[in-house]
Amino acid sequence: MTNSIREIPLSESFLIIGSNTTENHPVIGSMIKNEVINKGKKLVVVDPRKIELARYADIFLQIKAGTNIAILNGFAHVLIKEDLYDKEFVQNRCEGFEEMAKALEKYTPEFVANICGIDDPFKIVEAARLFAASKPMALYYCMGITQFKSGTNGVKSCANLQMLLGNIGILGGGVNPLRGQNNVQGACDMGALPNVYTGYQSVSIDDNREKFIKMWGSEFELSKNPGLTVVESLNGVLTGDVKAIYIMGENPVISDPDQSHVIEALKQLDFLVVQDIVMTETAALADVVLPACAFLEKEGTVTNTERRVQLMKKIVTPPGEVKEDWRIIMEIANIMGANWDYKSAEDIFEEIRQLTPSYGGITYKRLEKELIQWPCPRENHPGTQILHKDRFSRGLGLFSVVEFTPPAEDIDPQYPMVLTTGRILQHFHTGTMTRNSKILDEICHEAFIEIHPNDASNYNISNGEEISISTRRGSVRVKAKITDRVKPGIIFMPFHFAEAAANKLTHDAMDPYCSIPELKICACKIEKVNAIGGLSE
Amino acid sequence: MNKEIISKAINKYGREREHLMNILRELESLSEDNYLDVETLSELAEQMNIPKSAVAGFVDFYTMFKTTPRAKYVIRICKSTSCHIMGARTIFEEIESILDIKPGEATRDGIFYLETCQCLGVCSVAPAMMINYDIHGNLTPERLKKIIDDYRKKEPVDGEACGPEVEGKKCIIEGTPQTKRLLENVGVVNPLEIDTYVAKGGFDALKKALGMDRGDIIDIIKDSGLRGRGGAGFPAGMKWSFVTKGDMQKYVICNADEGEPGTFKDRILMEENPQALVEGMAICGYAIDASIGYIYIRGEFRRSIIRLQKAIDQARAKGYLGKNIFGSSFSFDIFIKEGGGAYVCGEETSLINSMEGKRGYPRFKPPFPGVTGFMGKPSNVNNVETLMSVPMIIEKGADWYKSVGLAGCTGTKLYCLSGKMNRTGLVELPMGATLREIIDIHGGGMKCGSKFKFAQVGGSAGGMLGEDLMDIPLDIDNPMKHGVTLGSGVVLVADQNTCPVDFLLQILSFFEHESCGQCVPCRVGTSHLHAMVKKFAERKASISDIDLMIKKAELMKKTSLCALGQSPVMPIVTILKYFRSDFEKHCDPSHRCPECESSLTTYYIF
Amino acid sequence: MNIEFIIDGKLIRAHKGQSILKAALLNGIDIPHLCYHEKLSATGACRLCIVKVNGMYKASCTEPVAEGIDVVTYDEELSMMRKELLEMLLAEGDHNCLYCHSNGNCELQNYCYQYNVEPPAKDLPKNIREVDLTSSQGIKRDENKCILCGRCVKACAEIQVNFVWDFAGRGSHAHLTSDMYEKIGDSSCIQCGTCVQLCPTGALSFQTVLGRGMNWELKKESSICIYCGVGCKIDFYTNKEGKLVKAMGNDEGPNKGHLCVKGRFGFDFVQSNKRLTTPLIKKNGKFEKATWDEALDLVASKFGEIKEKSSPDALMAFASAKCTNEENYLMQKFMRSVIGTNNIDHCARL
Repeated sequence: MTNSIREIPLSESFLIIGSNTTENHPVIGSMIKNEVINKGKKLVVVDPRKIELARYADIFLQIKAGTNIAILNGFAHVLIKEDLYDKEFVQNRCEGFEEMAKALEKYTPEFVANICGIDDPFKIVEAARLFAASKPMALYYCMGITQFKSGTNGVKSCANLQMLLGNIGILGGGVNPLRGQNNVQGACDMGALPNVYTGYQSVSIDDNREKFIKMWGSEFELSKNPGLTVVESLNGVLTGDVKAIYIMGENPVISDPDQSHVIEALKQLDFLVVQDIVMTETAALADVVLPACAFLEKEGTVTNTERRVQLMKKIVTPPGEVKEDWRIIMEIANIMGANWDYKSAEDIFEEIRQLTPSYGGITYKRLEKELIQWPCPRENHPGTQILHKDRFSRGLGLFSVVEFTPPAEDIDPQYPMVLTTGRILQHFHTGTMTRNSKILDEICHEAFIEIHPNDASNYNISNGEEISISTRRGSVRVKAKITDRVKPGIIFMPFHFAEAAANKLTHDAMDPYCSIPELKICACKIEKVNAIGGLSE
Repeated sequence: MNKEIISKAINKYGREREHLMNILRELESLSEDNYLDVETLSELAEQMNIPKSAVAGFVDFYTMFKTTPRAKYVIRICKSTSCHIMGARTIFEEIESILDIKPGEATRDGIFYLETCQCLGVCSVAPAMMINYDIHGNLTPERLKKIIDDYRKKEPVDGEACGPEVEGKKCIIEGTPQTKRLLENVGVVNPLEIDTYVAKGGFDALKKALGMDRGDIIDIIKDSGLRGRGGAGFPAGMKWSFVTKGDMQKYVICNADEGEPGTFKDRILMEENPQALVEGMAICGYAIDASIGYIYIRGEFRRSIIRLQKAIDQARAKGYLGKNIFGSSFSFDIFIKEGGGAYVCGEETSLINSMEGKRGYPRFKPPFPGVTGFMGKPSNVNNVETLMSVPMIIEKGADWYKSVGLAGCTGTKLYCLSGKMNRTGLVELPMGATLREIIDIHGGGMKCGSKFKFAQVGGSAGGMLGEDLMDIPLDIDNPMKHGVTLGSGVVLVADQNTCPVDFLLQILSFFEHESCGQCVPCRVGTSHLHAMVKKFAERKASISDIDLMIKKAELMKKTSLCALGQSPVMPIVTILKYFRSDFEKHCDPSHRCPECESSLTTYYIF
Repeated sequence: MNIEFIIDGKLIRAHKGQSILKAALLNGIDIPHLCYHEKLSATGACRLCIVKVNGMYKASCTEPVAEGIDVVTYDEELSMMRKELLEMLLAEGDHNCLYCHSNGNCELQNYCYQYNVEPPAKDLPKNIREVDLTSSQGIKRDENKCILCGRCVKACAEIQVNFVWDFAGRGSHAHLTSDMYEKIGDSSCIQCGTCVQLCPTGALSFQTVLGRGMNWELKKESSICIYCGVGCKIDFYTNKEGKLVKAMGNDEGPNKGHLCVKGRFGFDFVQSNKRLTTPLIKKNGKFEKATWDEALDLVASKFGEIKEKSSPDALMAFASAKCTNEENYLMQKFMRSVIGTNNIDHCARL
């Protein structure tokens, strides 16, 4: 997030796009609801599903899945056409306006409405006017923007809109991605990415490599070739390039697109090590399984969606012979010849902050009593609540020309429905934790799909009936929940449930810039179970 | 109830929560058995996009709603003090035997459903009852039988079909020396024809006011000494001047939730001279720079609602309401909001919550409504009688107004006479009439065979006056010196047949029934007081309970959030001042009290 | 700080618009209160915070400060009044601390003890209200322990903003309703548990708490929620046996004390019997328990072998968004400086 959670009360309006906030980030969802319902702030929701927030929205735009860029461009088009954008900000803080404005010319409300499947193009105009009239507007987005082949462009469109409105670098504004896991921000900050070291220092830059070689006392040159992403590495297994994978606390069999492809790859490996807290679907395929501490059994820091670094504490004693993840890695490293001697998580953190400018001023001692958001370069630095306050990281903010492109897999007569996936309130990701929590699993214990009443009646499906969903990659059986939360022609399915894994169905078309898979949309077909010779009488 | 009927009702009134009461009342009357089932309520909540819990809590707060089936006709027998004294128990027993049902039950044929209720505002013709929206007074066992028989045969009317005895102008005492100002036009103008009001100089005051400076109007009202007629007696001009100034929306709210047992003055004014209220509100609206007025009126007063709505519609058609009245820049309109059966909504902040579609919980003050009122906007709340006094003050001047009454308490007052007198009804007298004067001259003396025992002045929240206080001026200030109050102007006279223990039992049962339940001392205190006085009626109390009762009521006085919880102490202390020995006698298990026994068997043993 | 006034003889400075209670609490003066909660708008229902302002009785939670006022928070009369109010509350409900999960952590109990309140007379009227201990997976409701302070209603309206709770009934028959007079488990409650966290008595409680340790024996330590990226700070309570008992939102975190159903109840997997407890090595298609030395030696030698035989780029590691910064750092350091590849990624995109 460019801005902070505590600024929610300072926003005059909100644009929620591609985020089912009240289910996936419920605490932030409630804070936004409080502003909208109890304090009369304005809300625009853009989503393929009629999510809870849509109920309270001043304007709700139920778009076709995968058309975010078109609608964001549509807003920008109206702002420029009606002269509602922040000219001072655009002139002083940004560049590339003319080119973008030219590219936006064709994104008229009618053009956009047609792409997005919106009945009334004027709603787009109204939304744009609302943003201009109720500033600061805070834009929140989540995987509904990014998990597309065009994910990077979706993010750029969000930035375009907020720069046009001058909502960057001010209290209560911002482009605010909601991070889906408690330390996804931190894992990225720490360089658990194929192309950067900590703090996004590129592996291709010689100075960076020098710095890390020196600090790490590495015996050999560090590689300057960017490595593989998760999805690329699995493809690499099948081509024979990748022979061994070491997985710490992840469950790609459930979380990654195209499950059968994932399983095939993992099985083909020469050697698979999985380090986790329980026997996951992925661990079951491993050659060695290493038992790791759960979150309440260890110390360390995590970084949340607003770049706030927080301390985790050891609350309970781990069971059996379980060890902290960092200790296991250190022990393997030392057997392989390293000479690491970390006594605690804090020791590691001290090394991190020497190598990572944005974490430079953060210490465990400060975290005990201070709220610190990176960048925090020095120990006397208070941290940074708002990014891009006086200048962007690159100087001027760059408006990008972003064109709408359709999703990779279109529907056809054989696969006539659109499948989109996501999370639900009670469960998290692959269910490793929540499915093993008694109360959460009791509240919701089986997978389902959401299907519109019209489709249900077309397929002669009744509420709660078990049906079959198939794509080119696989098929699952799951119960149908008939609801008008989804539009006709699209079904929604949560991906937490191993017994009916949504990712058996998804495909791994990827964004060319950041390799994010297009999990949010693929073509599927629906069949009654008895029609395909199922179990029913 | 099907979705279309529900959405039709919503479309008729508006989707906003503030219309919840009117929508629910419409839906309930559309239901065959006078109730709202939970499926209907859930669907309504869904369609209006308001929380289900809010609808559930709202419906449960107002006694006129029910979520289980009733019947074609709902019979509500009034058990408030005036009706009680005048024989409500007999009526109650009679109706139970005629219909062979107990309260809370419907007859087998689904025609009648029986309930008790609190004051219906027709106390001069007590005892009374309401069948759907038709009010009938002067009930005797014979009349009751006839009325019930009539209803068996007919269909419910759309509106009301009250008995002739409750008609407003018939509830005014004629032929005694009165100073008729508010009542001057009653019986003279036709409440259904605005022209008759205009012919008597109606809306001249509004026209005059619109030519004046807003501040000058407030000064005249201040100068006239007009004080609130709802019970608290706060100077009206001062209240107007406290309304926040500025460009924001402001409201005039007329408190027509006349619910204090024994009071029926506002009903008569609204039924007989509704245009004067419209005019008074418009003048107030101009003075405080408000463009919208609301009349919050008891749901039981169907006739007043109908007539006021007609008056508003006619005034709008004639240009006395609407845009640019009399060609001025002033625009003003009035809308009616109905109540659903809750005494506490007479408290101005409860009233505002109720108007907003919420439970009638009083709000804490400050902020006062003049700063944060309806929908959070500055609102001035006045009683019907207060607002109707405004046109004549503007028309005839402050000096004229204060030419009658007492120095600190000017003008005339409407006194509501009920109980054991030869004549009961409404009289208009200069502020400060004495009880003796009221009973002897206007009430025509005690009923034959009756001997004065005490009078309760000010309603159930008021105190008892014995012989010793017969000659104090009943204005706003003087009674307070004696521990009693004028309140809304109720004079309920009891004779030797009234048992003080039984009388207090009715009062304290009323307060328990009407407590909103929000603050602890009132919620628990009213329930404890009721239980304690019931112990006296059952002759199970001990003498020390007398002081315990006073102590509890005093705690409530000091700690309750609103006036309701602060009220029981006055009737308790004043009744004990005169009749402590009766309470002591009731501590003896062998003591016989037919009054108490009758109440216990009628109201408590089902 | 633009208003000066006196509380119990002490000069106090406060902001205009602040309530007397808030100003008092900020100055370390404790006035008893039950319906007031700093996270919620003022209600003014319990009347326990009544004080004398220039000799007049005022509820301090709703009375704004004013220049020069003289406030008395304690004297014999006020103590007596508070005692009587507490007696009323005890009489109204069925408060038996012996069987209550809030025993030792109950605001009503504390005040009753402080004001020496005795058991109420037996013949006072009571209304039996709803007891629903089973309909919801997470939340229990025993309204006979309810004092109708309204904190749950406001918690749901102002913090979770779901409006599941409201008051129904009236006067002495007032009670709570969830949705349309439904059982809490049948209602739209999403079990964030905020109402329970703010309940001053034992009327609302969590399942699985009763019997797992007396309140005064529990140990509290804060950490950060493992689920989404909000990073809610949570106070975890453990009992004498070291078992996790309950989770409460911590006010200092980004969540300001609020939690969702996952943060509230989703911690028990940590102590579930499904946890792995020893390293496992797969032999002939079946996992067998191994010692750490065996397992790690095997891993190290296999990695070494592949690195030598193929290339460092034949190895790949998935780090984890559920692990700490330190662990992710170490994993990438391991891959880059020990194995010699940039093949490191995690599920940021999933």
